Amino acid sequence: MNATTPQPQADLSKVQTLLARLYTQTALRQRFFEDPELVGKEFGLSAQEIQLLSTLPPAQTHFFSHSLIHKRQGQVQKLLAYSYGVMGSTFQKLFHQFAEETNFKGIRKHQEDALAFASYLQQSLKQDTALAARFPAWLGDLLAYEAACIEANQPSCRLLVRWFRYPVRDIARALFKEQPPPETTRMTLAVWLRPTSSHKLTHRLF
Amino acid sequence: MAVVDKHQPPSRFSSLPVLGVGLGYRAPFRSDLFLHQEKVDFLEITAEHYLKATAEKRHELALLKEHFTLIPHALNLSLGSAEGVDQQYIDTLAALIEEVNPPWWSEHICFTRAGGVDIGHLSPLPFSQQALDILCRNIEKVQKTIKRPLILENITYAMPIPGGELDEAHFLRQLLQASDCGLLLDVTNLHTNATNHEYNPIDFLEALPKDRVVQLHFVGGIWQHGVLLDTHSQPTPPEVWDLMDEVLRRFPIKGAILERDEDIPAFSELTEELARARAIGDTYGRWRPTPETREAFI
Repeated sequence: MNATTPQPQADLSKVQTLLARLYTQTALRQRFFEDPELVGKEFGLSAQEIQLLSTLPPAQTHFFSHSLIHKRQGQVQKLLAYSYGVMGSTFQKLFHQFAEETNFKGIRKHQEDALAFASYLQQSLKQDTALAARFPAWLGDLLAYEAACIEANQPSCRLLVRWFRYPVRDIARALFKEQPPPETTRMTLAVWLRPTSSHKLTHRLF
Repeated sequence: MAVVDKHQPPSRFSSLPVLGVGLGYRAPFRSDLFLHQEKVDFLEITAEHYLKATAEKRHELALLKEHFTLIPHALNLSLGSAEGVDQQYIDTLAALIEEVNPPWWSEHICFTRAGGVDIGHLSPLPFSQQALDILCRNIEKVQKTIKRPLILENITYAMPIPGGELDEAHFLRQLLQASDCGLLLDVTNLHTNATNHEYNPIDFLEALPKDRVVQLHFVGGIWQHGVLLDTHSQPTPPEVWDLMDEVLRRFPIKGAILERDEDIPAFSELTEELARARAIGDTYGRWRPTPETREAFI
């Protein structure tokens, strides 16, 4: 395990910037492996840096990228657990589409990811009638309810009020117990309250 | 045998307390943890779960701290980022570490951010002098704010990043010595890399500085498309137990953590694994946490 021959030095900052994009953007990754020189130049890489990165093995790079999306999806699935339980593989398929266009940063990135994906799913259900027809009519409300729970759990959130057309808590409870959820509408008011940052969150439905 | 430089004085890591064998804390087993507290010597907490936390998470942290020595394990400082580390992130982390009062804390040898993109996971660095310089510069910045000893974890990598000049073990050795950090040796990651990249893990161990290997991680992964993945979702496999034995024979380890994240089994299965790790350490006279240790850090 001895040191090998030193290689020419690359600007690691530029190399990491391109790597971060290659790991997280499928279209860019495909374009890079078709023409590394073109994409490298777009990112301001020198000929030497391009030559270096062009030795990245495509199969392993794709594999790593897929594992990143899989991990990200796993976090979002936990936060939108009931909706995931209802949608199954469609949830996963749509998440892969969504993840191509989005990237979140910071300590609460998983929560932000889940909130944005819940919104994306709600929009998809509204715009795509074929998609909506495959799921219960209350799915949009369930997504909105799970999203509101995430929002209310942000430390800075003091008061959150949401209206739902369906009895969302009863639906969630039924799903938890693996029983048939209620199908009929019932206007439901949900309130989350945390008077100060040191108080625990209180949640009521009416 | 592991490499020992006889001309070097013992590092500050030699005097760290022995903590024993513990668990990476996960909320799903919280109740069982308190019911079987005597079977867990210490806990590792994911630092990011308690940064800018809600009252509920702060309460959970206080409860854990009341009963266990806690080791904060950070995920997203991005110590290998060529663009540098975020001082605001360091300050937030420093406040948590101050509150937890651990004997040491840990981060990964990787980058997670670059050019405005948060990659979302631990991404490997080239094993190069330039990456070493960047890591040392970033770690020095962190250590100006966080004085507590820092130990660094080896990660898995799907492929070596082009531009490497060293093998991983010598890269680690140079990093630990230049940055005054200890090593959190993830035995499962070592086994995973050795399997996927076809090298001998014993050669790897021989290159490590003996007095810098402070803590271990262990767990099991899965095979997918002919690649071994560190999914943290399976019981520790026989190959990792064998490697643990080799590591515990060679290095004066202070603590080991079972890092199970997914498909968490019955708590008794976790504590059985802890008991097995404890028994291996006992064979080599490694860990026996003293009452003083527990008193000092909870």
